[in-house]
Amino acid sequence: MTKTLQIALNDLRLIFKDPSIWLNLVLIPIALSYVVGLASGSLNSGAPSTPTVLIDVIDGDNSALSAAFLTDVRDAYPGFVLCPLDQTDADVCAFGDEAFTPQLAQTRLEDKIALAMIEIPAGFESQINAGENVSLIYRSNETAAAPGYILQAVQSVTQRLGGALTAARVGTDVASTFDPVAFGDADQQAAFGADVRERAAEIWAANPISVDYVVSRTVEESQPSTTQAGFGQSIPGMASMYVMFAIFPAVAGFILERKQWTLQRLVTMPLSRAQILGGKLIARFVVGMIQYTVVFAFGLLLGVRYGNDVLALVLLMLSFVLCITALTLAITTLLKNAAQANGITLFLSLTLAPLGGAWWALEIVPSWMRTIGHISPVAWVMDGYRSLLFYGGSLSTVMPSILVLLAMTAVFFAFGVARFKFD
Amino acid sequence: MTKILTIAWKELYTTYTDRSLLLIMIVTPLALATIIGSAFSGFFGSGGDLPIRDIDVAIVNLDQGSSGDIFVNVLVPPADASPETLLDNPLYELTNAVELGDADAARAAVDEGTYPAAIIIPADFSEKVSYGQNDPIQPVSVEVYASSASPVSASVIRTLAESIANQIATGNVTVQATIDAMIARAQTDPAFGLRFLSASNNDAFNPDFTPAFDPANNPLTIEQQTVTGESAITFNPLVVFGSAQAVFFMMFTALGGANSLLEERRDGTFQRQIVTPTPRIVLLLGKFLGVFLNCVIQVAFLCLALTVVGSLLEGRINFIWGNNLFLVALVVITVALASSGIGTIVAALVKTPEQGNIIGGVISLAFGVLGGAFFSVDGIPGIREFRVITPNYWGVDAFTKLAQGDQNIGLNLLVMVGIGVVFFALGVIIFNRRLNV
Repeated sequence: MTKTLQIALNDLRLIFKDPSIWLNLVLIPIALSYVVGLASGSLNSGAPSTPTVLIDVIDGDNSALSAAFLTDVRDAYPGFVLCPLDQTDADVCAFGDEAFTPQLAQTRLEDKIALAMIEIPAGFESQINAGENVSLIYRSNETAAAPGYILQAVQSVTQRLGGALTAARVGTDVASTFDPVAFGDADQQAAFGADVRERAAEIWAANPISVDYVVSRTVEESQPSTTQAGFGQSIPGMASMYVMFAIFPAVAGFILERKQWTLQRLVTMPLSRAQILGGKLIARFVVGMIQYTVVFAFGLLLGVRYGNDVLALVLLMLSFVLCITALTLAITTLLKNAAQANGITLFLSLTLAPLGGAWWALEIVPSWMRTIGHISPVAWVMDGYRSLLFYGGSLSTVMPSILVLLAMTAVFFAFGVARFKFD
Repeated sequence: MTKILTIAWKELYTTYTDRSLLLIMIVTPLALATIIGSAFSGFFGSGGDLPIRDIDVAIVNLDQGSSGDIFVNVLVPPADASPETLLDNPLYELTNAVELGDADAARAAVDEGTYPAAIIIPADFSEKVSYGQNDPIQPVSVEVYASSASPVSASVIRTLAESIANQIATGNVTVQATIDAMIARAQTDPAFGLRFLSASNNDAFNPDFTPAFDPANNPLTIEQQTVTGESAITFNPLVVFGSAQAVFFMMFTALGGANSLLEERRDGTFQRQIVTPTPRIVLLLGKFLGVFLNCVIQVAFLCLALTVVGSLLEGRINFIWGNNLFLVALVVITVALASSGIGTIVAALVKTPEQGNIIGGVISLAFGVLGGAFFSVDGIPGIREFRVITPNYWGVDAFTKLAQGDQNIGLNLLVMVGIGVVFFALGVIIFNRRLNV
């Protein structure tokens, strides 16, 4: 055992002698986890996490109704700033010295200074009062990667304003059907419609049906947070991906050592082959665990809570790192040169990670992708982390993940040991 | 010129006969883009505009009246529903809704991760939302209990619940507002009042408010348009993420290719070429032209391969990059120029191939992140501002615009050509001066 540990220590010394290891082990994973966490948080929280969201407005009608509509949009989220209506001396709309024009609005939208633009057509109020259908134009930079919280707000306000207009239209029809002579002329009918609309607007103002959105709390939180939603996904996800990046270089390492005859030289020493192989694998296993520790510690600083069961968390980390170490050994036996090793391991890291839900939660992918994703060890370890971080899971709930990872480890290890050649 | 082309050809030959390199340059980005495309495959084909589907949701209808049934009927398909019925209602495709009887059990199921969200309709929902004589509508809340672990699905359910609630409200508000207005009119118009009273007492007043419960009757609609004002078209993740991956991996090729010159200098092969009757600048230009052509071929091939993947996913042949082949080709060339320019300047400024590998790797990754290779940084202040320094951003933006039929990519091309020419020229000059051979 001592000899095995000495080989491991020697390999670790060599690994950490290379200054670039700190870049790959600390700086890049932390930076990536942070940025992905921010992206996931803003993507997932629905409401914008930014203090202000600029929405340009071209009000071609400038009527009381259009003003009322825009007030409702502004009230939908505290961070919405409607430009140029809400422009301040501090230039909250970020116009600089430029005057607001439709062309500028277009440019701002293209440059993503404003995230959306609402255009209210001329004649908006008069058309509505005449009972005609009206379309508002909504343009945005939002994509599937950034769900439409602005659109959602605009749709909600439109639905409510449209609700009052529907009431006027249907109410007038009902009254006319009930008593065809009720309205002496078109003006009386219009006045009745306006009355219905006014009453409907009053009822809408009292918010007749609201949706109370309650987010479940994670185990240790007093309040649900977007920190947990964003970084709770990115920290274990990026850490698991970088565990692969940290361990897989051993494939090229083995091949290179064989090529440079250092592996063969070791065999001539009073060491068993198991001790040599064990020592080298232990070194990479330790690097993998260090990688997890670094990123998880950073997550702790950011406020990520890892659940109540430390033993389950540690066992999950150990089983994943063990699995990737065994996979490394298995791959080594299939490749012939370092270039192949670099290509294959990069390919594996970058496909197993997103497939297994390291980049995004598997909840957003089709069910068949979730099923396919579970060929990746990353999917199993992420299942376990989600259970601990979000659902108050314990050792018993993450046990299936641990067992699958250990089963994979056994298969990869058996395959690797059976095929590994020292020369 | 012949020598330059010969050296460039040698670069191409070396690259495209190396299977390991092809794995990194072509197979990996293609696989990644396919995974991303498949992950968002709800956007393709019959999936229409549903980015995600089959969201498990629990509905607990505690309502003592009938209004709460609307939620159940809209979201939970009848047990004996025919395939046609299931197809008629897109919400059946969006959700896998099940009705539960106990609110606490539903919340517990959300906490345990069985459902991303639960919709809980209170017992007095109908009582409060329905209008009756001397019993006006009262505010009432429907609870959406969401899992913090599944924010995207939960957000969709929230929007859905709000939409259904608003529609129920529209119908009931119409009833109350109309009846109130008729009563008010009856008070000012005695003749109308008598007729209204008589009809009400004789059950002859049977108004039809059904249209108010139909969302199609809302006179106010939103016309969604693209940034440039065209009708919104379906988001194709293969274009955005595929082009981002293509440019991201091309950056590795550019930086790695330029860096290989440092390796040649370290290994002495470059010095051997110098002693041949070939000017040094010709050697450099040939080498960097090879890198540039490698980048062009890589991105062009990935664009074609992604088209094949997109067509397979969509079930029909579809050139996903828009209909202006000339502009697509220009974007490929300019983004390759910009990337190889950056590769050249990095190779010129670093001292050793090892330094080049480290710095090149960091630049590629940082540019990839900023350029949206993994996720969109549009919503992250403090980071999104830096996108414009990367060719990745300008390239992906141009590809996306062209795919959406927007040919306004002049600025994109200009910036990429600028980056490419300036860095390329500077890189060659600095490299030439620093060659201590």
